[in-house]
Amino acid sequence: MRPAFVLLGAALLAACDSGTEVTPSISSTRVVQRAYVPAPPGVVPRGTSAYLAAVAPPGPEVTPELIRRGQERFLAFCSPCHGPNGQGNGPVVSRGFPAPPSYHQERIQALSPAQIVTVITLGKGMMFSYADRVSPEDRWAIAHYVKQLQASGPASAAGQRPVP
Amino acid sequence: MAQLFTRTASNAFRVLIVLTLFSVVGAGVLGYAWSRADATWNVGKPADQPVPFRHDLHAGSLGIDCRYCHSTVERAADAGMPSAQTCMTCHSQVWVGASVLEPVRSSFALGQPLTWTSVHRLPDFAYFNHAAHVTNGVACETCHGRVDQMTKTVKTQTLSMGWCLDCHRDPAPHLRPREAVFVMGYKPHGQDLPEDIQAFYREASRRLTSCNTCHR
Repeated sequence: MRPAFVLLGAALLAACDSGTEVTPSISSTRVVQRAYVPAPPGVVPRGTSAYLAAVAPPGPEVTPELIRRGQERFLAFCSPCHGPNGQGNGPVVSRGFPAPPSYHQERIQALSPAQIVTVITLGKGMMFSYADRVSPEDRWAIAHYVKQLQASGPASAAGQRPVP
Repeated sequence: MAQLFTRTASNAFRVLIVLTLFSVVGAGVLGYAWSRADATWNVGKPADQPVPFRHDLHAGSLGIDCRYCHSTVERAADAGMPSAQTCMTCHSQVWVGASVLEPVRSSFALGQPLTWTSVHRLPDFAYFNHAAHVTNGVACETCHGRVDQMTKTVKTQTLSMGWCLDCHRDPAPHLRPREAVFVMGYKPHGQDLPEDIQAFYREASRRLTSCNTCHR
């Protein structure tokens, strides 16, 4: 009789949860935050060749749609410092960020779209890299929009936010 | 045989029965009110954050676009939280010595992510995709309220299933044109949508209210 009790007890206990599984009290909706582990040397991330092809000149064909997208991205990502017209007078500059050079200087006007894409990808001077925030297609769109902004001059209304 | 209960005792029982009925109904009403109360859903309650980030300053007075920090909102389920590099894009030059930004600087230096506390956390059984909403005309403001006026980030909506369904049953009045999705304080809601879009959503509400649209 006693072994039967022991067996039954053991079977019941086997169903118990160990209670050691730790569930984080706080988690974001979908992202599990893990400590950053640097990739071993020589590792190539997936999609590298597609990425390199996307940033390589000559880039996508210039269409009104691309320019429109470029304007939208420019106002979201660039205008905080560079200002809506590229004059280097964005709202962040008014809070103490060193003013970036105006797009309408001769030196900056001489830049090709490919060079602008490189600046967005790698950063320059005090400007950080925007590679993690702006996709390669959008970098080309921004670059072509900046060229258009330069062509239309510093006082143009091109940089106004499209009013819905 | 003598009476077991006196006349007063049976009166007391009558009162007790009535009181029990009242309390059952009262408990039901209270439970209903509690489950619907904003406080139950943590509406308006700020969470403890590692850095006292102010949306009213960044999105409000500086007018920085939502996507500058929540950059995957148009292409992923998660809107994306800014990396320390995103913060340091400006804060490598602005507010350099501020002690409140120490967690950001150490996160940037050590490559360890900041642990923000989610204010709008959904349960695991609910699937939500930011990109699907944002690219189809549901604005940030529609669910998150006037974030550009918040000193501390709080929920302004319950995010309950009933609240989701309110919109999924009839989305058209809540939608905006593409250009207005990231705009705060946009007024004319819905009525100016083209008729074919309104017709599409009248038909689509059947799919949008299907269980496995959100519970998959």
